[in-house]
Amino acid sequence: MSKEINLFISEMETGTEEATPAWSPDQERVLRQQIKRIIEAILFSSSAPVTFDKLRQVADTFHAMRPKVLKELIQELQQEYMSQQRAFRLEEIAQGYILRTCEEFSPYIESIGISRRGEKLSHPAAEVLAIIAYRQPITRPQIDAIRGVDSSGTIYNLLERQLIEPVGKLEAPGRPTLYGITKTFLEHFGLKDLKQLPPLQI
Amino acid sequence: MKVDKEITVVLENFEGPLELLFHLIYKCEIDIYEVMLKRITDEFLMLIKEHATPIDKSAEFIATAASLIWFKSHQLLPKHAPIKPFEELLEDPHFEIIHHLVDYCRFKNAAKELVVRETEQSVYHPRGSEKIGEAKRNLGIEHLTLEDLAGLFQQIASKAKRENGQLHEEAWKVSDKITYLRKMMTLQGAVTFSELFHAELSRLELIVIFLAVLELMKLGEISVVRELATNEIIIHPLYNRDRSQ
Repeated sequence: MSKEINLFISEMETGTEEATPAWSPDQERVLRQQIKRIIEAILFSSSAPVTFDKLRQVADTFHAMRPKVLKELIQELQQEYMSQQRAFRLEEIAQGYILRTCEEFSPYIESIGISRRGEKLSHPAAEVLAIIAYRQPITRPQIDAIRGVDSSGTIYNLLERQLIEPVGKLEAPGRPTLYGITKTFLEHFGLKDLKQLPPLQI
Repeated sequence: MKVDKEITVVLENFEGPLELLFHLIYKCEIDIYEVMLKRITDEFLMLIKEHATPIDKSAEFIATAASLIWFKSHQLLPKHAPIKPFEELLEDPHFEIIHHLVDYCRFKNAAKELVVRETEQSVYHPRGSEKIGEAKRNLGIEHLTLEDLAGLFQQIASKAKRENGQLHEEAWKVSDKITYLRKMMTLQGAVTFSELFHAELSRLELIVIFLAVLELMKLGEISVVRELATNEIIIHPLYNRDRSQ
């Protein structure tokens, strides 16, 4: 433990000794390492995806850099977790970054009472959600027309679970509410964005 | 009432007329663009007839059947040379419902894929999204907090019938209820909280039963557990104790 700390301090010292505008390879390595650790700390403390912009804002307070470099560092971190065979991965979900456990540990996690199975969608809910995901923004009557049944109850439940949200009103008689999918939806299905959904078949 | 049951069977399997239609076409295993409307319509009507359904509940199904028949008859009628330039409007009514159906099928498939995706995703756990130990927490007497107790009792008390200020003789005894509970445990195993404390019982009786439950928990004869999924509280016996006394 003490060895680790000493190592870190010596690294920091070498970083401060040569405060020249041109970075030596050593300094750059330390700097990159430190930024990666900042990213790691942020992701570790967050249970929801953190957007790239947010990470950039924070990283910039430590050291300003080009977005491309930050992206590289995130990817490096991603690679490190994989090469070190960590039990979790850094994933890009809902237009942000998040740490999630690898699937093979799911039985162990569930054995201590953590389960995502309770969140399962009902059959009609999945249907309505699919329609909204592929045809958003869409109104309830339009959804009803596609399904041939009333969907108001299902929509209410989906709203409550924050998988969909009102995104505006249609300029038509009655000004019906338009619905769209939310970030929670992307998180729930582990999607980066809607483009990741497979195209409609037939 | 019997009729009611039958219609729910139909509605359970098929959420709407479109879904039923989809099922019928699927069963015929034919190309969706070459659907034999007569066959489909016949089966459709047969199904509705089989379950003599009240009209208000099956109106949607009948409407779909009616439109199917309309399309069929439209096709059977000899086609005249177009008189009006509006021909495109009526061009292919067959296509209209099939188009609708195809659209519905698309989303049906998409929904299936979403469900598959959901199952796949349920094995990845993000950080700290859930509190540990919420599943089947044992509410043994030593773990039972004052709030838990108060909450449970509130639930029960709210169920009790309102009683007018009459004084009753002490009709319920904790010891009787303990015997009753023990018997119940041996007879049917686990009992749910709501089963035990139903609304018809008087407030006093509910209190006595509650005390009996607490007493048995203290003696370690039963364990009270909260089911995470239903949030239902379940009382079940602990067999490892020696209960012969």
